[in-house]
Amino acid sequence: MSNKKQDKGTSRRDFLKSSFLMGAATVTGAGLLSSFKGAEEGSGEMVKVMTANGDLVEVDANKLKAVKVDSIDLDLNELQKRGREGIAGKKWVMVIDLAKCRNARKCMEACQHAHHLKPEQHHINVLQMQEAENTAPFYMPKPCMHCDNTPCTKVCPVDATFKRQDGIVLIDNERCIGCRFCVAACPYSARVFNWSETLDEKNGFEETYDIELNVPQKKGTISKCLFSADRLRKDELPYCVSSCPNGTYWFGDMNEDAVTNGTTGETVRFSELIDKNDAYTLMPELGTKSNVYYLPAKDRIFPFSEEDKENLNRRNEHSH
Amino acid sequence: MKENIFKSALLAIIVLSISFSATAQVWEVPSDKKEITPAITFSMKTKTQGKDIYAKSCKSCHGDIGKANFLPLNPAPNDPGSERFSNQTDGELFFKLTEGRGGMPAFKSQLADNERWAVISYIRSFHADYKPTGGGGEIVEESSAFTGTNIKLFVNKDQVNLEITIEVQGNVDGKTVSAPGVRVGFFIERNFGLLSVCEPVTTNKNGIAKAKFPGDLPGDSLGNYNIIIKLIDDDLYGNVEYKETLSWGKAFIYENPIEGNHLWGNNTSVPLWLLISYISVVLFVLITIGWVVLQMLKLKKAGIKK
Repeated sequence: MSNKKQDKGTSRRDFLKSSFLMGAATVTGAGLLSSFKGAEEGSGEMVKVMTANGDLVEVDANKLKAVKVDSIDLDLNELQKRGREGIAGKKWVMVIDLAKCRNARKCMEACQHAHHLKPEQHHINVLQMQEAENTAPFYMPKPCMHCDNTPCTKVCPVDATFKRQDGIVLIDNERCIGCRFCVAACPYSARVFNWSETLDEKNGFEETYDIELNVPQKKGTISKCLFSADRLRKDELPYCVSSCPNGTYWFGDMNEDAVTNGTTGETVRFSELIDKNDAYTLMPELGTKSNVYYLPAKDRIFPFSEEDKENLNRRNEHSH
Repeated sequence: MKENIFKSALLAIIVLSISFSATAQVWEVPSDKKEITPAITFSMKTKTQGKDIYAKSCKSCHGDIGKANFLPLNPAPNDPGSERFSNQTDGELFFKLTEGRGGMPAFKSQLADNERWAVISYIRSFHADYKPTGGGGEIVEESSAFTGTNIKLFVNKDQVNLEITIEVQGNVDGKTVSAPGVRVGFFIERNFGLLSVCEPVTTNKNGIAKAKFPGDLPGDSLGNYNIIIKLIDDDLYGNVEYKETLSWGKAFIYENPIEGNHLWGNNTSVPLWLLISYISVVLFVLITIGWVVLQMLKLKKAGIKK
């Protein structure tokens, strides 16, 4: 309770401060404008102005005009429209080389930072895997598989989660009613639910909702891996892919038959990479047609950490 | 007073732990491994081989050698051109490259022995006072690299075999001559980077290099793809490149995968069979309920009459 009171206090102070600043800005702005107006009728003296390039130039005061600044940001409708349509001609694909992963978890950090997730919420999660008692353990990053035959979008009663033409499965917070049917339908546990107040709501982050970033997050709605749709629009690699220090991720356009490594920037043919390394997808028997491929953890360049090994053993003992 | 004692104890613990972790960071190499000498003779060839491997496997953390632009990791990867590296024996570098530790991968599973030595030969070319150890570690300086300036590429296309022959020419002493020993890369532009068509080709004594382009790579709807031919060693020759759009690829006709009716579609794109079977099931259930209710009403009516 006392916390709440304090919050209120600071926010009031902030409000007062900001309103004062705004007032000051309006006054100075008005002053400037009126001075320009005055100059228009007046002598035509030279005024020093800085251009957008940072050059200082002199302009005749008569020529000065107030510029109306348009908002660069798109409004909600435009963001929703382009988010629903996707990028024509593309079919995004990810290849994860398990031999390169050493559980550095930089992908998770970058992802959680970009999508304003809490530490326990994962769009991508690095799991510790051991197929059988005597097989070698390995680390396995697991994002959304962006299936071509999606179990999740079929069950959504309000068309909040959907598949776009470039293969990405997105979630629309504006429509989501929080029924969590998709969580139950997804065989890869790729979806997270905002059970409690989100970071955006706590921090008062009120930007326009971008469906391709799923920010701001909203309590009572689903969040999931988006293949960084906002980055792909800018021809940049996803957050996780480009933040990996160990060359684990390849990402590209299947229609171009090319994938690029996020760490080294090397580009190879997708079909060759898949073919040469015996790539596989997770749970192919479900017919989900996953768009995330795994290269087996053969010839690993990092050993599985001893500490994690002990944890795995302990877990295995418990499960017997 | 008590607080002061506590504080100084805490400080002592922190200092001690830092010094301990500092000693833990020293990477000890077994003395017998230190003495190992290179298994290959360092030459221009091994240096270029090492350079290519370095760009692929090392650069992402260690940065460009000599520029100290390595990643700010803990422990720091450091610049292989620095004294930290030049002070080590060939055996030490080879051991660390082979076994790895912490963030440094164990390259024994990814690179062959000779490839690892090639990387060391490339790193050693940055160490000015490097004295080759053992029999094999001599850097043979070959003057094969072309030293001319104002390099130009002349491109000749073979439409039938999808082959491109290029002639590299440069200025030596004011005369234009063909440039031998220049490494040329052949690439195709893709969404996030350049796809190499083949390993870099070194020009022959007439300054000619050749590469075959793939005919089965998807291009646009007309089979067009952009090719880029450029000199690999841009630190020697500057950025020399040639770009062109060729229709040598496979035509790719894009079909919107979500157009039409799909199971994952929304209300407007439901498959017809699903819509019909759904509606008929609902109708069947409703009609059945209606029929049952009707029968019950009839039953009631019949009961009242009697």
